Amino acid sequence: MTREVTPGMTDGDIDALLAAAREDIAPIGADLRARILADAPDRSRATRPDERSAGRLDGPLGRWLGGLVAIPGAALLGLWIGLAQPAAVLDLLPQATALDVLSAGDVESEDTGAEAALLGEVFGTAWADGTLEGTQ
Amino acid sequence: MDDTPDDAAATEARLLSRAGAGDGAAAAALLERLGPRLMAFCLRMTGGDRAQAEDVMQEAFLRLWRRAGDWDAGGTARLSTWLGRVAANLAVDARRRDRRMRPLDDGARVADDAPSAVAGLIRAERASSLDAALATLPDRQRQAVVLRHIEGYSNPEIAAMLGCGVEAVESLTARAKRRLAGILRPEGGME
Repeated sequence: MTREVTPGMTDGDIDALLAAAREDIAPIGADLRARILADAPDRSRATRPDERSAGRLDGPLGRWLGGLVAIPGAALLGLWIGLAQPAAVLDLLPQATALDVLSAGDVESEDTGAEAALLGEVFGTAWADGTLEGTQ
Repeated sequence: MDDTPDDAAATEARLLSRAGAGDGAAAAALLERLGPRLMAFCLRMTGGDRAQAEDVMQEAFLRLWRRAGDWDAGGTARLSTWLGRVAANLAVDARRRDRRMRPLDDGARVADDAPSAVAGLIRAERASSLDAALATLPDRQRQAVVLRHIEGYSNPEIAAMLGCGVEAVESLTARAKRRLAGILRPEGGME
């Protein structure tokens, strides 16, 4: 049923008028056209997949292989530094003096004293001869 | 000769795929194909505000370019439909922001600037009397009637876009049509 919405103009007239407007077009100005096309992907900026992955390991397998080499490598390097240049490592430690004494091979009273001092500092108790005082 | 809808969808998907790979000619062809129709829609949704309509167009196409790499060419979604929906949401948001910036209510604004806006549209855009009449409607009435009766969206879809209920959409479209009929009636109207 066509309802008259206002004198001389029915609901159906309005519907038909609106439906006819569906295919209307409006020109796009040159400026807007240029702006939109400037946003479009640019071939010169686009990266080809083979270029992107060239020279480096991508994907789960690559990362797994990288970890396989890097972790033991880092461990070996640390071990080598500790063995070859112990002084360089000991210099960085806060108890370097006490440990230096230990590493110097002096195993007499000074050794025991330094060790006790270190353990005492760590555990907050008094140590002598490797045992906790008062427990014997 | 006109494409069938399937042909058109396939052509648009192909152009988008090439545009996504950096083919400027394909991007231009796609803009040529979809742009003028979308521009008319954006102008209607923004009440003839060309600057705002252009911003909506640019943003809608920017989002399209970003989707170029993962567009499902074999899917059911048609590019022009997707683009229209994006533009509709952008236009609704833009007008909402505009209203917040201008605290005057729709009725007062239309009463103040309607004659100059309509005259300007007719002169500058050679708009039809329908477009000029649409431009005088309050934003939400205009958007509801354009989305429902020109673009063919369902009331629930429009309700989602406008952020209101289905009943509100029905009310907005009914009031918009009454106002349009009043403006467009032969005696004393625009025609």
